[in-house]
Formats: sequence, structure tokens, C-alpha cells
Amino acid sequence: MDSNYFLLFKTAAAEFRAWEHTSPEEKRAILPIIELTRGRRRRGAGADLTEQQLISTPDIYAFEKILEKTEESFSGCPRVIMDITREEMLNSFEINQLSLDTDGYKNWVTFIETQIEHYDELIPTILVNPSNDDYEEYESNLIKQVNDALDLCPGIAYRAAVLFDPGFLNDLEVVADDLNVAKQNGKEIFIILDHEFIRPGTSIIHAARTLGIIERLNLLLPEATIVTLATSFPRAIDDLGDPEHDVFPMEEVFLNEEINRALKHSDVHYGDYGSINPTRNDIVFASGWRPRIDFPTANSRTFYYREKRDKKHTYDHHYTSVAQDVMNDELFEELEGCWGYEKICEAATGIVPGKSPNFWISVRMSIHIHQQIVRIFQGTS
Amino acid sequence: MRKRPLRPPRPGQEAGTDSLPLDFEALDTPERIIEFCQSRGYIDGSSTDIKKLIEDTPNLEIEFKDLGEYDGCIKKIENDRYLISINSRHSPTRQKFSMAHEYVHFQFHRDQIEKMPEGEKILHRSSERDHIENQANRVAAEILMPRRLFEDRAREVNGDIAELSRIFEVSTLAIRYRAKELGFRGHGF
Repeated sequence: MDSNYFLLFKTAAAEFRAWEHTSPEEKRAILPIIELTRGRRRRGAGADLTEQQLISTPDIYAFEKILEKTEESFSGCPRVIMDITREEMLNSFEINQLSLDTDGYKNWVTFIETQIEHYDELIPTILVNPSNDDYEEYESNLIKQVNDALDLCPGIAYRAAVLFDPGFLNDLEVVADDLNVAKQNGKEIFIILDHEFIRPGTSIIHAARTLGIIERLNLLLPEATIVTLATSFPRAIDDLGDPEHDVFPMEEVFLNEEINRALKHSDVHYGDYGSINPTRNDIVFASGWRPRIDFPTANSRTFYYREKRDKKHTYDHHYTSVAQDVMNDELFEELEGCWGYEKICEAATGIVPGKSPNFWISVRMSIHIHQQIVRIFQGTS
Repeated sequence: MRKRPLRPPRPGQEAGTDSLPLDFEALDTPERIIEFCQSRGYIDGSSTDIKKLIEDTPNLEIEFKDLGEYDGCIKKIENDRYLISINSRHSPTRQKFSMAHEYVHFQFHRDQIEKMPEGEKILHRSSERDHIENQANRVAAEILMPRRLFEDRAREVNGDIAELSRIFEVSTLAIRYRAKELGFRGHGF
């Protein structure tokens, strides 16, 4: 199976768990886009610092643990794309240092050089972080980064925040000649059109805009591999549905289908966030949580059941109850060999494998990955 | 590193000229609406000119008329065209929140507008159970009182609700609602 399901990982614990339980065959079908984040805060570190001071002070977050875990999890992949976070909430001193534009983003290129040995094929993303108003410096740093990285790696990727960064084509215009030459010399060029969260029902609107972008990209980088990346999984389920049960479409699938339909061919690859909302939800559940289980379906929907916890019953009781509701739903499917599916079945029998929301995010992600691979490679949607 | 880098303008290019400007159609998260309003000047200082945003949005119209007990409503008038009606008898601050609420329906709940009642009371219901209405209130408050701006101004005026109401040009009820959403305690809240 060639990998052409692009899956974004924000290196959160729930994602690592889902990945750990993904079968080797499924892993081969996936091209992970690893967004390195800061890691957990070290115990007692920066107790007296403000949020802003925390991200500008070294050694507050355990970034090296994220690197170790990433290597352990993804080193067997035929190819990985490596990026760093642009989310302020997931940033740290160490990540900021990697993104400095000095000397052609030397810190980033040097970092990539240290990582190459851990992976079969490592594709770095192009970072864009100009530190001043000098246009020539912006251009020369970008070009140097691209060429230095391409000297080390079999390809390079550009991840565009298409709904946040309306100026991104400027970067590609600057490096287009170098990228086109690299492509002719056998290097891979990936352009990832990251839509982040898109609301159910909006795929046609977003596709219309993205088609305009692709048209311009095709003129600029005619041989580049283009990927749409998005998720419609909400930050909080109440944003989209009723508190106890609802179903909503996976708009990321329809976005990609809409674009390929309009282009009359299937050259734009599919990518998503594995049913994880791009904004990490670090809510502390001071008074407990409402047990919920989600189930991504083969026809590109996600349904869920949730219960209010009462004081008479344990979380086990409620997770068993919602797992039974999920299994009794007409949209529920048997998914042989899928870890997430098996966990729901176990919970429904009363043997609850996990009691934290985090565990059940992994379950959802596992099922989502499975469904996407089936859809992409067997065309069952 | 920023999601939207601060690129120096190309020589000869005006600062802030983007090659792919966001359009009115792609605004399906509060963050995108706020970013759009800030980049297009709909947020001037602290106040969001929601009426102008609605007037400038393609396929969206606005009218002010006597809606009796209701604050506002949105309905489909043609294929892709929608009309927001706002109660002309209400105060400008109350109208402003109603406009933002209906605008959120247009951006977020377009596929459900035809099922919506022709007239709704906004923010004044004792409990808002419907998640769509709840979301419209929440996002309307976010658009009219973006988190950072609200936090800064609230600190500057030491939580004076009347003063915040003047700054953001919304009702004191809307200020209290937003303050509660953001977890503000004490002072006038």
C-alpha cells in the first residue's frame, strides 16, 4: 500500500496511543505530518512565571521527551513530514529557537540534520518566520533554507494556513524556481493546504476558494503534490450537536471530494487531523466529565452518545452504557482488526478499558484512521 | 512562529496587501471572523461595526422594522440570499447584539435557517438550551468583544460594566454575559 493518506499529528498523548494501536499495514498507508509541540511542563518549572514568560524561558517544557516519543513511534514509517507548531498555546522557548530565521533558518536545518538518521525518509516543512522588515533578507533566508534542506532530504513540504494566512503565496513565489528545479532533480515537493477546522456544511464554500488557490499553485509549481488538510471535529461537541446524541458530517472528506470533482481528476491528496480538533483542549475537569463515546462511520459521518454522570454510578457504569448505545445505533459497524472498535465492544460488556476522555479520543482516532484507509484505498464511501 | 507570518512587503508593494485575501464566505470560526474584521477595519479600536460587516457581505441583507416582542430573525429570500431583520424599536446596543447573533446564524447555521422561527428573543431568555442558539450568542459575544480586547479593557477600567458597555457599544447585559463566559469574577461582574 503506498502511503497517500496524510495524517496530521500534534504529538498529544491521545494521538500517540491511537498510533501505537494502528496496525503495521495501516501505518504503511499513512504519511504522517508531525507537528512538534512543546511537551508537558516539567514538574514545578516556572511556577512564578506568567504564560508569556513560560514560553520564553528555556527548560520549562520537556521538548526532548516529545522528540523521543516521536522517534519511537514513527521511525518505522517509510516517510514522515516534520513540522513545528504555530499554535501559541503549544509553543515554547525551544520551539521558538528552532524557528529563528537567522542564516537561512540554520537552527531548523541543523535540527533536521540530527533527525534524519531516525527515519527512512524525513521531509521537513519550510518555516516562514521573518524577524524584520527587510524584504531581501526574508527572500534570501527562505531560499537558503529550502536549498540547504533539499541537500539533506529527499523532499520538502510547505504547509499553508489557507484560512489564516492570506499572504502565503508570496513565500512560494520566492522559492518556486528552486522547488521546480529540485522536482526535476527527483525531489518530492508537497504543498499542504491546511484548512484546520471547517464547519460541517461548508465544504462547497471552502472548496470554491481553495480551487482558486490550486489554480495559482498549478501555474507556480506544476509538479508539486497538493494535499488538502482539514477537520470538522469540533473543539467542544456542544458546538455542533445535542448534548447526549447527535451525528455530523466529516466535512474534510467532502472538501477533498468536492475539489477533486471540480478538477475532474483525483490529483489532490486527502489529509486530516485524525478527528482531533486543531485547538488542543486542556480543560481540567474539576467536577468530573460526562462520559462520551464517538464513532466515525464509513459514510463519512461521526455520531456520539454521552451521558450525564450521576453520583450513584461510577464512570465504568456510564461508559458501558454509552458503549451499548453506540453499538445499538443503526450507523454502528463491525470493524475487524480495529483497536478502537474492539475497545467499544469491551466497554459494552462491562469491561471498561479506559475511563478518561483522553482514552476515548484515542478510540475515536483509531476508528477514524481505519475508516479513512478503507475509504481511500477501497473506495467504499 | 506565527500562523500568519509578519512578511515584509515586497518592494513597491503596499504593506498589508495579501495575495489571497480572505473573503466573506470563508468565515466559519469565531477566530476567522475576528481576524477578518481586524484586517478589514470592521473592528476600530474596540467596537465591531457589525452592521457594516453585514451590509458588505454578499448575499446578505439587513432591514430594521418593528418585530414586536422579538429581537431579530434571519430568513432565506432567494436561492442563496438571506435577510436579517432587526427590531427597530430596540436600543442601538441591543440591536448590535441581535445583528451579531443573526450574522452567526448566517455563517454557521445556513443549512438550518429555513427551520428557524421567524422571530427570536436573543440573550434575554432565562436559559438557552438549544445548542445552535447558545452558540450564536457565544460567538456573537466573541465577535463584539474579542477575548484579548475585552480582557485588556476590563483591566483598564477595573471591571466597570457601564464603561465597558460604552467602549464596546453593547448593552450591560451583553458585557455581563461575555464576562461570565471568560470567567471574570469580582468588580462590577
